[in-house]
Amino acid sequence: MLGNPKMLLILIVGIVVLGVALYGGALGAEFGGGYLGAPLAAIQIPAESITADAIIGDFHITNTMIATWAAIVILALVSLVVRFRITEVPGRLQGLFEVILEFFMDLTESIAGPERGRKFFPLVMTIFLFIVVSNWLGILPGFGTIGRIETVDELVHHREAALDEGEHLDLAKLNVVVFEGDGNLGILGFGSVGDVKTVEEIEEHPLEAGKQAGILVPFLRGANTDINTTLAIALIAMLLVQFWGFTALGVFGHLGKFFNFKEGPIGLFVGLLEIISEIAKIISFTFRLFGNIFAGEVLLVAMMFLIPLVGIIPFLGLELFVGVIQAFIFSMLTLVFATAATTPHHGNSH
Amino acid sequence: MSGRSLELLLRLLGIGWYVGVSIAGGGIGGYLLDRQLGLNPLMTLLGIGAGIVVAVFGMFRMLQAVLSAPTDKD
Repeated sequence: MLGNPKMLLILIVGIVVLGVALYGGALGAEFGGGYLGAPLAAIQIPAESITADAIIGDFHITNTMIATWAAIVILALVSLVVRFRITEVPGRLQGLFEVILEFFMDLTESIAGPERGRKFFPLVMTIFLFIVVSNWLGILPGFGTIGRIETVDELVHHREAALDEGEHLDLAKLNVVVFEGDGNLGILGFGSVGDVKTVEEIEEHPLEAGKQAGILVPFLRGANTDINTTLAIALIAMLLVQFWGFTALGVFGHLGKFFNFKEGPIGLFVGLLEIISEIAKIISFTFRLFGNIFAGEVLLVAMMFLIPLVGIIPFLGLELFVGVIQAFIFSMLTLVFATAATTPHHGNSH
Repeated sequence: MSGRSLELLLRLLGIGWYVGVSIAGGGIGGYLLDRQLGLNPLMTLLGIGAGIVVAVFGMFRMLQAVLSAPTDKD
């Protein structure tokens, strides 16, 4: 490979780019570099409120809600455009949607049969499209890097409110970022990796005018990095699965799977297993999607911190793949559960 | 991959979660009972034991259902 001058050139350029990126990142910042890196964003599991105060009562608009609405608006607009531009000879957009819909229609019918397949298809397709759009939106630039600056006072107040009685906040361990300017809009830009200080340092040496310290609360964060979103989709899916079970088998037919008095103690025990497996389905739906997407975003943030620009590229590809695979698994599992719930005989639904 | 093979594959995805939920549910239920009845750690241990029994039986049923399901080759 090294004998080929073209390959050698590509290899050298690759190594130089990697070296420049490494020196520009967090590791390089220790040796005087760090011109490309951004500080490690404040990672937290609950979604952050995009306003300092609640909108109505205790209700906050969170960054994941904005991303959820964005996904809904995008899907609605694209559907309308495709719907009103339907032609006999499909264009590119119509062709793409025809391929996706036909693939899922065939798959749904091959698993659930033609009649049930048509009934389950709208839910399965909606779940797939919503999850894939919101997952892919979450890796766009601007997600997680542009937001409101939560000032040191606000941050300390929030952290103290979350502490248990008897605990106290260690200001020397609480990191904040120094932002330029007085406004409350912040951006984690290139080269800001060295602008991290602890709250204790800020209190001992106040910042000069025109600078402020705080953490960035992003305006946008992937919808499925909020456990509430994934739980909501899981509940909708499982409630509809139960509803279809009741309509297909009747109230006693469906409940009989869970409370089986006809077959004695063994029937009761099997019914208990069925109840637990239904609960496990909701939990697995929720945590599988949330865990995969949240972990993906944390991975991207960490790579952006360590090897900015270059290190993130393979992981962006990975996240594109994970985003579509998770959407596929969620929608297909919904279909399998719905098929099992509407099957009269003791079909096990796992 | 056909719809039938995909369905069998997807069924297997839930088994781990089922086992986890059964054992954790039994353990947590037992712990809460212990706090109410003051029998610590008897009910927690019994809960975990019951969870393991439920998990093993449920897992066996699920695997049996998957193994005995007709595939494309049948």
